[in-house]
Amino acid sequence: MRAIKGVLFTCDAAVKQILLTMNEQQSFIIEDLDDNHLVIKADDEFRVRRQLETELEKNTYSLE
Amino acid sequence: MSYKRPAEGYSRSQPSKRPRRDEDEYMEIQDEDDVIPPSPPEDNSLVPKSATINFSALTRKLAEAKRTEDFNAPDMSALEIHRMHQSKLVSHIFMDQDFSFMHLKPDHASRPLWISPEDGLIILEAFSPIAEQAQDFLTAISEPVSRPAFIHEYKLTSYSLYAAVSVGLQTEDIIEVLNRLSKVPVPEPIISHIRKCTETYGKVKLVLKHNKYFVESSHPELLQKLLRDPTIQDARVISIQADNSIKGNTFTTSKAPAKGNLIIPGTSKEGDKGSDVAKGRNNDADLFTSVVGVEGDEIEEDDDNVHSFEINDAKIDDVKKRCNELNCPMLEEYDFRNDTVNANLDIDLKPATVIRPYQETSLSKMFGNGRARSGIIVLPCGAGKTLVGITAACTIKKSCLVLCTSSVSVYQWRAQFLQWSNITDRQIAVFTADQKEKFAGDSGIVVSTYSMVANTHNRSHESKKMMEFLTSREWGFLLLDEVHVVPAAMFRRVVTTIKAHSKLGLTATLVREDDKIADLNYMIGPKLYEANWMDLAAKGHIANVQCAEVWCSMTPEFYHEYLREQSRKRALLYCMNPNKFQACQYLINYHEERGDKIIVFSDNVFALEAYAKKLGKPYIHGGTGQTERMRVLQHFQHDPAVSTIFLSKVGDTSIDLPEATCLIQISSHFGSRRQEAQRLGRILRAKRRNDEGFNAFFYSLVSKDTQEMFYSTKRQQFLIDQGYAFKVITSLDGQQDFPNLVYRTREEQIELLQSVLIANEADAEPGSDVRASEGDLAGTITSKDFGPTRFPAAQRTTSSLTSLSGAQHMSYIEQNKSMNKTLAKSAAGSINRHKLFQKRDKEKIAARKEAKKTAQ
Amino acid sequence: MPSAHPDNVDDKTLALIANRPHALLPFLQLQSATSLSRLYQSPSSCLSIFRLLDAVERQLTMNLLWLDSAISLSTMGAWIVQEKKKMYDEALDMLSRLHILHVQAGKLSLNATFKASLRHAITGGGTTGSFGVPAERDEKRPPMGIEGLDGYALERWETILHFMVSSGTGQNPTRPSQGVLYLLQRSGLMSNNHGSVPQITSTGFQFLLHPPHAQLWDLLLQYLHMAEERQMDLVEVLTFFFMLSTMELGKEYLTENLSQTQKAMLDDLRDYGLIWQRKASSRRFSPTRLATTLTSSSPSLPTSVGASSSQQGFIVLETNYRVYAYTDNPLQTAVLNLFVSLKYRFPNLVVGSITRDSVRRALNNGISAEQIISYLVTHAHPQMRKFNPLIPVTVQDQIRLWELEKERLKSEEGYLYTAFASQADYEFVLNYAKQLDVVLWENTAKRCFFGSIEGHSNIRNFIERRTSGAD
Repeated sequence: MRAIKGVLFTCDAAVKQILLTMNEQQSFIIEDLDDNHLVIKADDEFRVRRQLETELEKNTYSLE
Repeated sequence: MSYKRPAEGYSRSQPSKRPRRDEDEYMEIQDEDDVIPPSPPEDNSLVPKSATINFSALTRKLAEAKRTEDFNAPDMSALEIHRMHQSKLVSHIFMDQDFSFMHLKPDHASRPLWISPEDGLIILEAFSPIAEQAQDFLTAISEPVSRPAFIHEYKLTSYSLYAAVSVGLQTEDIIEVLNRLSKVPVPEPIISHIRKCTETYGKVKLVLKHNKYFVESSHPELLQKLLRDPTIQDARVISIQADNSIKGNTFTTSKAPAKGNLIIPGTSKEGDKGSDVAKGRNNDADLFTSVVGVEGDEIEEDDDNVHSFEINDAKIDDVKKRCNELNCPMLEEYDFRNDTVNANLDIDLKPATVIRPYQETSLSKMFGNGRARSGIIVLPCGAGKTLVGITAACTIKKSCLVLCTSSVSVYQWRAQFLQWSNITDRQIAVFTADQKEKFAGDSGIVVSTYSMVANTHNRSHESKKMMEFLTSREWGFLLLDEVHVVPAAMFRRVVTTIKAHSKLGLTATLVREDDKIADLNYMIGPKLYEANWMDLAAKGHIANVQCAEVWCSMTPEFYHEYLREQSRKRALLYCMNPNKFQACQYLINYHEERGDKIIVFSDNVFALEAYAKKLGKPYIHGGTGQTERMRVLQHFQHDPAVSTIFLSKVGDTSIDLPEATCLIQISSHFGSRRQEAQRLGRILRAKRRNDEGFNAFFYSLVSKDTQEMFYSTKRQQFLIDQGYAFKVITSLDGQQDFPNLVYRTREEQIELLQSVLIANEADAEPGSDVRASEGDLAGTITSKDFGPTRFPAAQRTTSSLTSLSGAQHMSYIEQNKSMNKTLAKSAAGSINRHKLFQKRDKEKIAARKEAKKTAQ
Repeated sequence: MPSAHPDNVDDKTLALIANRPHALLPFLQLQSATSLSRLYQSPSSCLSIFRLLDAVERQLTMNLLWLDSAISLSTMGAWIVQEKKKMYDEALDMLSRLHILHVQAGKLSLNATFKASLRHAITGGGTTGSFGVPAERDEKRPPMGIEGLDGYALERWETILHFMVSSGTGQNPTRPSQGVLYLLQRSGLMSNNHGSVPQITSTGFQFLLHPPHAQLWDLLLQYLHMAEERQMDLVEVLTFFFMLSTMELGKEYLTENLSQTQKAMLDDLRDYGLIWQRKASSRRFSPTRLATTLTSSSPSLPTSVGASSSQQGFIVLETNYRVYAYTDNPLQTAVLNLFVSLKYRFPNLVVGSITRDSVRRALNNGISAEQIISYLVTHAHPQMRKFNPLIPVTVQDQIRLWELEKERLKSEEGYLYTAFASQADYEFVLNYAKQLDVVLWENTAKRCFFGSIEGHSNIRNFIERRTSGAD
């Protein structure tokens, strides 16, 4: 039996795909659990969230 | 801070602008507040119409009020002091746009607008009882920015003020009416801006006489000023004949043109029946008639003599531009009724042709003073721009050149002329790559494309001869269709080679960000009229439309590829998203069952064919031959079994389908606001629009978490400002339970993905199907449609040919039989019938000609 | 159009707000029967509580008020239509929890004290001073006029709210008194973690969007909680609130008849703007509109002095996301600034847009999409009432979608338990973890689960015990 410390991400399928792509550049995923769940390294959470935000922001058109 | 900018701002207003006013008239200002629009009508008689606000008095009054306030300051209650303090605290939010220091007029509640001193923004309460009149006035003097349900925004720009002057409004009138409507006194910077922009506007005219251009004015000092400019000096032609002028050897002087009673054909004023209605309306709008210029207003003519100098036609454009820069734009007006040099054209609207009130209004801006003003009329797609153009031609009754963007439109224009007016076949000619005709007689109409006229190289002998025909004569009227897509350089060529007395530009979407406005302004003229979409919809002239954006999440497999794809194929992946496919199938089915006729738009041809074949629907794109195209369209129009067709970009402008009631967009040209508006325009003229409770539907299917989301929001902005609302649909009720849903299994989805992955990158290009033929305008037909355009014309897109053959994705296509072929088989009979009809038509025409002859 | 949207919530939201019992009633329910009995000795308290009840509860109370004997449940039940039985039952429940009504042996009757006091209040007999003792008019020092009182109340009240809304904006608003600041912090509306400058909390942001009446009671309830801690006599505090709520605006009252506790409250009430006194030592006080409307449905802030817009709707929201707010009130402007990107300000109009950024800023401050929408609905301009729904559906949807956007990724720290030797091992540990309620994700096929960080030490001990036990 092993216990691995980490952060459980619960997300939709698209966000998961983005995370998988990000992981290819710089690995942070410990375990890919299923379509909506991932476990990642606790230390990477802040960075990953920020990068995800930037990624999603690219598809948003804002006025002004 | 906000309290530091009070009345001093107004005290600088011109105390001596109106020196003739005597002291007694200061009294008027006391009454001014009672005399504004909503006050009882009897009060109106107390004040002469020409009464203008006395600014020095107003300033004094305001300053006085301010002083009393300051004097009372120590007596201010704790609450007032507290409010002042708090007010300062929130002021920072607005930065330099905090105008709370302005003084509300005591009766501000009955006045409908605010004016921002900083940027000329005007905010109008559209629910005010006098909003309609205010709107008339504001569209004449400013640019509409947004016009939703309750509150509209307009903006004063130098162009809009130029337009205001050109339709006959005068500086003081503009300021006066604005002040009457405004809750706050018109801010000083705005007044000086209006003065600066309008005082020299409209005082100089560009006139075409005997095929030569003259700069004309009744203000010799202005001409002197212009002639001091090197550009204009350079363009001047010193002619011997000019020396016999009265005012010495500088200008030619002649009598100013006189006005008369002009009737625009088809308008309500034409017949006796309509005149009462018109009068009634004018009484209502009493206050505005003199300023809005619906009736016979006239440019001030304090001097009977006009002065002029000739300029070189090749430099006409530079001169116009320079005059704009010198704040002295040239007005182009054509006194066609007194033109005895150019032969008249016997053209009139057919008696059955009726024009709508807003079409009439737009034309009245053009012909307001009995002459033809050059400029631009903006009407939504489907609101009958063509008829406006034709009516204008019927009013001027001189030779007319119509330029449009493609040869398809050329034939449509010709057909429309024949349909609405009494012009005969012989009087209207077309000039395209395939057909080069001249009209018979001294006057007539030629319909051509911009590029046929602007193109200078590789001309055939025939074309050259045709061009000589076009350039050697004076045109009474130059009608320019879809002006927003024509590149500046091409316009320049057209305007310098064709000599026309008056020009009218037509467009549906003058998207401000284009920077086209500046170019169009000096090359054609100011915007004379811009219709309000919501207003036309409310009155039943265009259909009511429900707009929706349907979010389709990407399947994990498609999204996986999308995220790793850097090339243009990304676009193909979000178009071909199986969830979008399903949403499209579901919506088609839903609306077919309701009895709607549906057009599905796809800019991407690969996706277009894939969707159409998979869903078993006929389609048309640039590669579809003329016969097949006609067949598909006829089935869509007449065959109840064909309720849905797929169209590529070719359907954006040149195919008119009033049967359509529902529109689904699966791929589009990036963030083009204009394309969105044009597509919406496809259903605005829906035949059923006047059925009770009728709604047309406009769906945009968008793949979530892709670039398409960004583009989609951007595309909608123009329509949103017109008052349309896009409802976001995140999931379609019942879609998952729908039987026969395509690509339901993962295997099918992956197979679809394979077909996308092996496709060429070129397949991802939107609009790759449409190849320009000679004479088509580059910007309008090819994939560069909505992006920047390049001159010269005829950019051929070669990469598209392979994709049209379908060779690379054979494995995929073969599974789906094209509906087009099925239609072709069943169509054998109808083609014969069609020929029969043609024969009958010919016989009819012949019979009619015969009848005419005997009548004479 | 086939869409999957829930119907519009405007009406539901409004109905919900209207149907919710008054915030004070749950607090009263928690009080002991003895306390309530003492409270009910005061006619003004009974009258005030009566006014806070909803229509059915008031009807029931009135039916019983003039009866001298108890009435059987079945007799009363005969008046009730079957479909509305639920409302009736709820009303009965509320009244008995408040000890206003007793059900004994199938018979209904009013609490005798309550009955006597309410009868008293209605018929106007007696001089117990429960409605306050009006002061004789002092010609040398005439009482503050209504306009002055309104101005005073507004100033005090707005100072509090403005101080909240401005915190953290780098502005320097007037500071309310220490007592008020303490109340704001205790109620969790503002925090004081970062030294001396209090910062507004997410509860505080939500508070700002509430209607004034609700805001006032939020604070007074907090005051009641604090009163309990300070060992003040709750009944006297409540009695004083109720007394104020039945006083007449513009009149002066004497402080002499007040209890010690009540006299001690005067300072606080002055700070909140509920009462006005010429001097702190003055023996007279005038209640302001904030006080006299505490238990009525009239507006709690004056309708004159520029705040007119706060009562009737003042916001126009367009389908192009533009917001036009008819207001000259800086506080309203500051509140709008919480979720609107403001652009222009005219003397009586503020112009801005609802943008993704402005809404996200609000969401980050702890304001929910629903709160934004309900604020817009509550304050919609009369013109907007031409349409149903009141505010454009597209804009409502978009605000909710922006909120959903924030929730696309949830994260929880913990441990992934994996590589179990056998299925039995896995199930054994998993069951234990489930008992602790710490399992966030599990997959039997993969034989692993994710447990929250809180459960880890227990699980580790559990496994260690088991392993050592097995050895």
